[in-house]
Amino acid sequence: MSTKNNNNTKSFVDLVVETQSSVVDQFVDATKKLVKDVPFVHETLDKGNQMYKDALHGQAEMFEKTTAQMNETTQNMNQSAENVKNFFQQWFENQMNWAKTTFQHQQQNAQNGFSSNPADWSNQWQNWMQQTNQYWNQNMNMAPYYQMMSNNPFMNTQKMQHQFTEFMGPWNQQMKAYFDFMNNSFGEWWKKMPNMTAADSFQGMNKMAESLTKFYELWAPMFKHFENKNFNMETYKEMMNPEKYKAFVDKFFSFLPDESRKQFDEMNKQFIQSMKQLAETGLNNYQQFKAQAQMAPWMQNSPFNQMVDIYTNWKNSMVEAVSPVSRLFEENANVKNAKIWNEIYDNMITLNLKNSELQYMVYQNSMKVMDTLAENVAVKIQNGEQVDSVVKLFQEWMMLGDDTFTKLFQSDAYSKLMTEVSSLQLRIKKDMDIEMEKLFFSNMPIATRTEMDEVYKNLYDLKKMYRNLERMFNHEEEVKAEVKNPKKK
Amino acid sequence: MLNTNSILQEFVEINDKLQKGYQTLKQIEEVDVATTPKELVWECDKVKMYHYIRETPPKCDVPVLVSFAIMNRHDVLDLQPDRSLMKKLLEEGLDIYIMDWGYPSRADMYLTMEDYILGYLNDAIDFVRRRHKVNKIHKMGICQGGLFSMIYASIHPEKLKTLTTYVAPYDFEDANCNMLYNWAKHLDVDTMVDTVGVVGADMLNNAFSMLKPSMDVAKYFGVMDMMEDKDKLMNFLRMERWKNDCPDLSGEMYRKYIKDLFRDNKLIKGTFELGGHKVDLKNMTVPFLNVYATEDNIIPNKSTIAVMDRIGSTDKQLYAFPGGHIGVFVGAKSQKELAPSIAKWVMARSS
Repeated sequence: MSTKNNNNTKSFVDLVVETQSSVVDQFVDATKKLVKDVPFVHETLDKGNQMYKDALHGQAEMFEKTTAQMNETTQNMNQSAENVKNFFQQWFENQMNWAKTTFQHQQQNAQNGFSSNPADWSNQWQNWMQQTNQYWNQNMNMAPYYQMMSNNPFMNTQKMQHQFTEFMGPWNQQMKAYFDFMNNSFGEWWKKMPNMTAADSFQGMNKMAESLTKFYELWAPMFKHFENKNFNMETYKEMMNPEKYKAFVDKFFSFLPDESRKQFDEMNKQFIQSMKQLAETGLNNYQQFKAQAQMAPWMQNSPFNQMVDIYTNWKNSMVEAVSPVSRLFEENANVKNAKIWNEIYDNMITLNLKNSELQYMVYQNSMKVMDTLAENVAVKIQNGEQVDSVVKLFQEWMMLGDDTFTKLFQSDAYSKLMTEVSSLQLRIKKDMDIEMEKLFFSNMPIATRTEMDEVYKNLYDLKKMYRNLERMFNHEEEVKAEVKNPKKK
Repeated sequence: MLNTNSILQEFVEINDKLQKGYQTLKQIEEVDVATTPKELVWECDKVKMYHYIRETPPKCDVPVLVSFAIMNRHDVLDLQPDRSLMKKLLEEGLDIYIMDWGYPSRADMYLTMEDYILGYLNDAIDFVRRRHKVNKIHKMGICQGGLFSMIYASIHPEKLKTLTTYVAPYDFEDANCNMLYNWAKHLDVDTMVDTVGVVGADMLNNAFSMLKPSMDVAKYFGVMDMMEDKDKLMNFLRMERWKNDCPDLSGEMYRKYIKDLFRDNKLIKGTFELGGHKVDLKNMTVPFLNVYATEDNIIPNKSTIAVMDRIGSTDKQLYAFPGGHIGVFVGAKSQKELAPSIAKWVMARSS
């Protein structure tokens, strides 16, 4: 192999290739046994296995070449220990700045009041949308903090990762490919389980394995320093990948990944825009819609199951059909509706802001956890101890995390912010529920939730009245019986 | 230094365990809990009361009514035959009834704490009293069920022979006890209840899981090692089933629970009111056994113990159980030591 001349890495690479080949063989055999009735799976596995091994050997040959690059990379990585924290700080500030700008703009609008001139309204609306779009576009282009990192030789995470990926190629890439393969393979198996609790448990085991894999990926770039016994806090700070760690923490606490959250926000934004436009047109088109809807084939079968589709289709067609907000008249019901949706959107911006702050608190603390773990590992390495288990590292991270996170969650600052975020979410939901009902369902031939809630209240009151009467009656019977046959006390 | 061989081997083992886990879990068709025989004897709306069937006559004539927290299912008290507080208490000679609070839906969002305590619980107690032709019964309450039983006992001490509570929260003053106490102080409960009507079990479970964030990941390391031990695996699965089977909470009940108890600590302060009754703990004069778990991370010990000095009972006793919140019902020590001690304490006060 090409690593023969490199005494430092020979055993490392050989071992990786040998062990992984055997791991894949073992896995392929086991999978074949499990899916013995599905012939095409055998064929796919065999092909995959060969491709995997070829790739593995190919990458091993690259190892020696990339070692030189590694030395160069290491020399470049001499920035301060604060760099990792900067990533989160920048992420947070980015979120804050966007939200502040947009929110302040909205506040200004609100303070000025709604103009009676539709053109003014329209301009403001367009400016606002433009600003928002800019933000989204900016994020699509990987956001300012990525630019900041590109300008900073150390914080150029992508470059750093690339170099490490090359250096650790045979180990890192193949392990990741292997675990992706394994996770994907196991991913859907729970569906075949007859018992839901067992299926949930299997899913839980899978997720745990997935988290472990992500944790492994975080530490893998540092393994070379473990091997060379020169791992310390400096190397840790240099090699820690904040992006990956953020993704790991997001998963651990089930935060939405940034991109998903942005998509979600975007979806909301579009939805509210549609609502405003609908508010503008009022429900003049409702009758026409209803007549069309009733003729639709899905209306003949299960209309209530299709309600969401009706709503979505209607909304989309309305968005296309109606004119923008510039057609708004002066203070009328439609303008009022538009204001309500505006408020909802304002709340969403605030929510975004506060939620970012909340997440930032968690990220900050998660860095403390990882730093402490790294310190512990560094001490072990310096003491000549072996790092022989990623599971143990992960478990230590969780133990340290429990301590750190529970202190954070218990703090006044976190508690206040967390409950504030929760209230905002609920308020948005409540407002949207009311408006949705008002706009769509109040004219539908179905009971709305508000109406059902009134029915529930009446039923509750009637039942309570009945029970109280029943209790009074029973009590009177007991008193009568007592009078007839006094009990000994 | 790095031991690559052991790290690779570790991952191979994990994947091997995952495969074995799949094969084992695939075979499991049923995860049964609460199998001790019992019959339905009373129901009102979604609330039911069961009577445990005894093979032998009870050792005392005064029956016991057990009620668990409304936010969890009572099944954990009878999780499996060898870990069943109910079964053990039956074996010790008690005659036991148990409340099943049911699964509230949006239609139940107006149910108040008064409806639960002075409505359902009171009606069930009256039913048992009539059925056994006794004036007083023994009452046991667990966690939130203990708190509600304490409130009931303060209003209707004349209907109870004794009160035993397990890991119940009474004093909510110290917000630093744990994060849930602090969160409750800041929670905008009005917006929450007005929005959702019934408070989702998932939301509450998420809050509880934050008490030990790693728990939902860490537990699976242990599970993977259980795959060849069917008994251990089934124990785990039963507990999982119970933990995932949580009812939603009526919004109005939750509103008062958070505002009056968690936030304003009215019960301890002596200002709590329910259904027109001023709830004075000094009126709680029935013999009282207060069980707390020394390692309880959900209900802080000081919250449980604080009630001792405020009640009117002269016959009162603290029982420190060495273990955690759930260990009180399912731990081996619970079966061996706690259940017999409680049964003995209750029976001694049955005459």
